[in-house]
Amino acid sequence: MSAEFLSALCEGRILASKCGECGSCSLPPRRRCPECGAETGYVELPHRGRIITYSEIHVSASRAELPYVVAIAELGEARLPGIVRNARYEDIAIGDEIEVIIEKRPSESPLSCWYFFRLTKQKR
Amino acid sequence: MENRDASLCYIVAAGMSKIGKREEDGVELFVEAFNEATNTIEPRDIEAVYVGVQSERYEHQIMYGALVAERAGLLMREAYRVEACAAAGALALHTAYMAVRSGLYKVAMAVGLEKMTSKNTEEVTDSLMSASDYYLDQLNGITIPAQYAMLARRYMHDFGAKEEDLCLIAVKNHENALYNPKAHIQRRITVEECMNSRPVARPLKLLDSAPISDGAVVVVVASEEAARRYTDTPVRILASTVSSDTLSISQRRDLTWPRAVHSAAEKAYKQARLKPSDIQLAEVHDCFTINEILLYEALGFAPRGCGYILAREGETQRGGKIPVNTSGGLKARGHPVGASGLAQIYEICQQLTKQAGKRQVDAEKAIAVNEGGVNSTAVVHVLAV
Repeated sequence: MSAEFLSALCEGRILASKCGECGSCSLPPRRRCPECGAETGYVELPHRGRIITYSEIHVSASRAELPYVVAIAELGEARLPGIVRNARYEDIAIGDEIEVIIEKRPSESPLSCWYFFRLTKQKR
Repeated sequence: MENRDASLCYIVAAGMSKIGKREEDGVELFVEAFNEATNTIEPRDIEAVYVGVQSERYEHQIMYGALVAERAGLLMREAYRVEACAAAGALALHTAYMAVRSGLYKVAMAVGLEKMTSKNTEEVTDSLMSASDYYLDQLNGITIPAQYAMLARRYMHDFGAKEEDLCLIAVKNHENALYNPKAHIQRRITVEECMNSRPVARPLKLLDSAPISDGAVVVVVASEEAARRYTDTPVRILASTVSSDTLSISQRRDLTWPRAVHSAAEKAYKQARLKPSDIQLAEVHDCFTINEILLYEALGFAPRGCGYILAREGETQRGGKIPVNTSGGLKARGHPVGASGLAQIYEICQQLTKQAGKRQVDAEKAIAVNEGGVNSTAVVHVLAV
């Protein structure tokens, strides 16, 4: 169901699944709840959330520009990992607010759109 | 017909290559380990071969099951590779254990091997990254070290541990490896040196991280009847369990609780009819220092949030209440990824049979935790003499 996640993302929506029985939310959306195996439904997530943890990466083959900051954000009831574009390690604390920014990718890229996080409000 | 409930599985032989940066290829390292393991058993008795290997990227090679059987003179046996990233080694043992416990075979061999040092750090980091969720983590460039770093960041925030506490794990494991002639790194380090080492994924630094290593390990298991043919002092496998969690850490409810490890450990304690306080020795998956602390808690050696205090008090050193990673751990014994789970078993066998030399501790019951995919697949073994 990563295809549904991607096509919704290109329409500006962040799609997760929510279990009809235990209420657990998952990304990318899936038909069966990983926790209890019950069937799920779709749920749309807010674009703003809070950082629950983060790191600054200094060794990586996947990006040319080092270092870069990554985080996991809580968006409503689900959790999404991503790159934080406008911050360094020292700028961030757990609890800071981020916004998910969706952007179009060049046509040769395997994904037509993707997202990143922008730090909007510091807790301190 | 043997009573299945009473059927047990024994380790009758084990061998390990020197771990480190090696000239030999992976299969040659296997032969080194196999030669040691077959000093005490008849190699032709082995009926099945299970090989744990992380990646084809290092040697451009898969089909290690057939390749290993060929080099061991074991053609026409059941032989194949098992995979769960860094948990591949212990998973090979779990597979051999199931083969013997089921009654299908009397003697089976678990192998773990990896030849990594022919690639540079970036290539290795990228290869390991395939053990994380493609969409959520790989597309965002979130490396495996960064995932452990995010666990560390959250743990420090929630429980008050400092970066120095993480470094204490590295210092301890380097100290233990000084007495392990097969360890990759035999160098004493200080907390200060660890704190000043270059960042890998902050807050984790180079000296919080296991090295990139080459190595191979062989563990041969047998049924009770077959075991009696080889040795009077086999090591008993009291439990062999596996549990899985979400691949992406982001989808776990509680970041700092390695739930799959806890689940596999609970199953293992139940199977072995033991409790955490009965365990006298542990080898745990310290690919990054933070994980050793998280695993203390998941195994019940320390209450939630207090794993780092156990380390601060020195209780996991040799001579402490529960010595952990007497071999030097992944951190200093080295981390040939597919072999590490069996390197833990090798160390426990050395310890339980009193062959651990200067690092010998007094223990009769031990536990090993090997994991892959940032505690996504956890494999736990309880061993006893």
